[in-house]
Amino acid sequence: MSSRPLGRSGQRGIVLILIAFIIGLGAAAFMYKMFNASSLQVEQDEKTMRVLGEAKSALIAWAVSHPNHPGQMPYPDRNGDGNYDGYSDCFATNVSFSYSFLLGRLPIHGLDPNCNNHGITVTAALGADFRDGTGEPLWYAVSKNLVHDYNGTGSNPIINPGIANVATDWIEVVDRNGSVISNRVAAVIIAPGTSVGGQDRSSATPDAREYLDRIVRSSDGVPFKNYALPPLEANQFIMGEDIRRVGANDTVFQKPYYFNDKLVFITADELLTALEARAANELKNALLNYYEPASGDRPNGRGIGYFPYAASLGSSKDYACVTSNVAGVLPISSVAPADFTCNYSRGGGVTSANCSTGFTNVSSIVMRKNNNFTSYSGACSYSGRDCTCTGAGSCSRGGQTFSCNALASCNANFNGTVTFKGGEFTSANSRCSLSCTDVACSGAGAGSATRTSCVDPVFNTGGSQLPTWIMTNQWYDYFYYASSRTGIKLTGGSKTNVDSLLIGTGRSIVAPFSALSKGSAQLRPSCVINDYLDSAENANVDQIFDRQNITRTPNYNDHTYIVAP
Amino acid sequence: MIKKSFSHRRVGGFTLVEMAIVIVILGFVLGALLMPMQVQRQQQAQLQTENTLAIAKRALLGYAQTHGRLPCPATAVSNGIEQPIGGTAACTQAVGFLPAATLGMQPADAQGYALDGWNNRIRYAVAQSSAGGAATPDFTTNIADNAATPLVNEADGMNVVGMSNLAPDLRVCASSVGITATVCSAAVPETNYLINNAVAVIYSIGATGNQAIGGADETANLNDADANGIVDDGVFVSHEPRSAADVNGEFDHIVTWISPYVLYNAMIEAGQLH
Repeated sequence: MSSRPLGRSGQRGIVLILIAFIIGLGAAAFMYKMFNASSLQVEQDEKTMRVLGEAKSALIAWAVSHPNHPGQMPYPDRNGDGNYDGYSDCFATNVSFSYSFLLGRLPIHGLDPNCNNHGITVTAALGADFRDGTGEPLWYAVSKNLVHDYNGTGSNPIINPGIANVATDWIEVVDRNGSVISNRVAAVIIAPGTSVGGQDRSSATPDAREYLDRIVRSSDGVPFKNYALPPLEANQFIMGEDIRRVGANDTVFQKPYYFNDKLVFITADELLTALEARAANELKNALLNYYEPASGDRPNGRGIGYFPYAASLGSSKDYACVTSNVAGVLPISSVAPADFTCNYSRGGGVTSANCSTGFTNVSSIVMRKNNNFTSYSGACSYSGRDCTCTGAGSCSRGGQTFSCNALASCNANFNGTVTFKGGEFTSANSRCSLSCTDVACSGAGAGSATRTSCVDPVFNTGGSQLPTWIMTNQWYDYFYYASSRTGIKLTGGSKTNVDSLLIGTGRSIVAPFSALSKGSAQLRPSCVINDYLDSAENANVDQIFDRQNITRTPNYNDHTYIVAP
Repeated sequence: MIKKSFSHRRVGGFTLVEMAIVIVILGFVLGALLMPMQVQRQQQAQLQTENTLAIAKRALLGYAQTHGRLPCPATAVSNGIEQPIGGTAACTQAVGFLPAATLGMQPADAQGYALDGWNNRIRYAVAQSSAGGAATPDFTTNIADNAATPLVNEADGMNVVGMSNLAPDLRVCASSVGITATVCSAAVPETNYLINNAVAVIYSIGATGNQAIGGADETANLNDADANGIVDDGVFVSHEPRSAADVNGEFDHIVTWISPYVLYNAMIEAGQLH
């Protein structure tokens, strides 16, 4: 007989342990699953946002350091060519531009070899295979203002700060409620996330709508799509709320709600700020090459021994340097600008005007009549009372005619006033007077105006020649240049004894904003410094300027770059 | 009295069956705990390595923004300092160790080298091309200021050469199949590459370190720092990890690189490149 017979109590103990074990195991598994799922989600989101950030900096860097066309963006990788191969898909020269070319995947491999048209060289990859937290390649949309037009002979956008004032074709990004965050967006990068709402990504080349999502606002039924295509739909992207954070009780959005895109965007200003730094470095390098002799650290030095005199602010034709002018715009003429004279005379019902170098050194000759012109021919055109000639041609009203020949010898059989535009004149006499880079002549009698350029060696040539892209994109119009050539040293913030500096003037500040220095919108070209520089310190025509790295605001976008020392 | 009551109230020990069940449960619990711990430790090392590589990238960009050039790799005996010091000549090794001491990176080991999660030294390769016409490499050379010139000049290697002339040539290939000492594929245009113009490659040799069990893909990355007799080259391989059981051989290197555009843009921002 056993001392401890196997009783019911013993068996109950085992069952208890078993039950506890099973419950514990179940609870542990449940906890583990819950914790794991949410932490996985957080990890995925974190990775997505990190990759989006990396892709954004890579894309800005790619555009800024573009060898031939800094600022130009690649076309997206579309399914239009039958695949998503990671290469930017441009279009053939016999195809017209379509907005559908501007939305696709991020072209991580750079330009397709087929894009090598019109001198657009194939540049290398963005530098990494960017994928969001769920492993999906990123999507990308770009503004029409920043891409090459392959149609016909092709054309490159002129990318300088002025482009930020272009009103059309920027992308608009709105927040979850549809309120505009920015309406001057250069590019958008989107992480599509997993498929939601029946998106079918099983085909070889699914459309954008199989990746990108839409929402509909309850209040007015307005849809916001991340795959919308202008011109029929708004060029708009939405930073919508994630599907996980829109509950059943939500009343803001129509149900069912499917949205899990995550996006970052690059504004035009962000891109231009980065580009301005590159342009400033090129100009600085050219100025130093002009000044310094050739040496190991400056192989292209020309050894002129001083910085060039500046051209007049407001120059738009020759950018001729002016003796003793230590502040203005860079003298970017690649040949020594000619000295010339323009003459005016009026008497006996006849007005005549001519320039010694024809139309070569003036942008136009404008004749103003006492009533409106009614017809024109050749290289003349009229607007109201003003007839503007840039070559041989004429404007008339009845028997009254103003005509110029190709050598800028102009006559009118009536009494009028004449303006010689853009000649960057340095002196004027009797009936003529200087007005910015122009000369205005009026009244009976004769008058003349002369330009005498400085005798500095030409700046934009040889070792100090500016890169082609600076010239074609007209970056020289967006820098104010000052030097200590006449002996007075410059100051930029706390940096004193500066020999030369450049100030990036940024885009002209226009409505609804007003430049701090001017108190109203800036108009360019202009001879008035506060149309370029935005703070009182910069615009007070002395040798003291703002420090470097002041934060840009809607009313202030100057940036000081010290050239030397 | 006490004794009596003790003898009457039997203290029931665990039966064999109960003990067996407890041991089995303990086994389950320990197994369930230890298995993920092993994986977790591995993951942590991986994460630490990835972090170190990201910090290294940032440190290198910061160094370039300050000095106008990238540092040379450290050699096995240079105590984490670039060789030669100061960018006076071509790098002693184009592929070597991350010069953590030169970069001022923490943490580093007692010898001044940055370590990955498995305590192996982080490796680093830098482009030694010289497309700018000078005999010295464009990306790592510091050209001393010419004191005879009138202005103080801060142009260093890359700024002297200018961005339009720079031609970085490091490759990171998707596999070692078909790679040569200079390119990822013999085909023109080149295929099989993740990047064909990297300015620097920073990588960890992973958990299995330098052991000779890796496949050809690992061998492509081990061409250097440890003086193993294989000539330095600028062609590397990176892809998802593969186990030793894989027919193509094991691969657990973690390879990152610096794209030229990111470097150029960072230097432009700092006014160090035109």
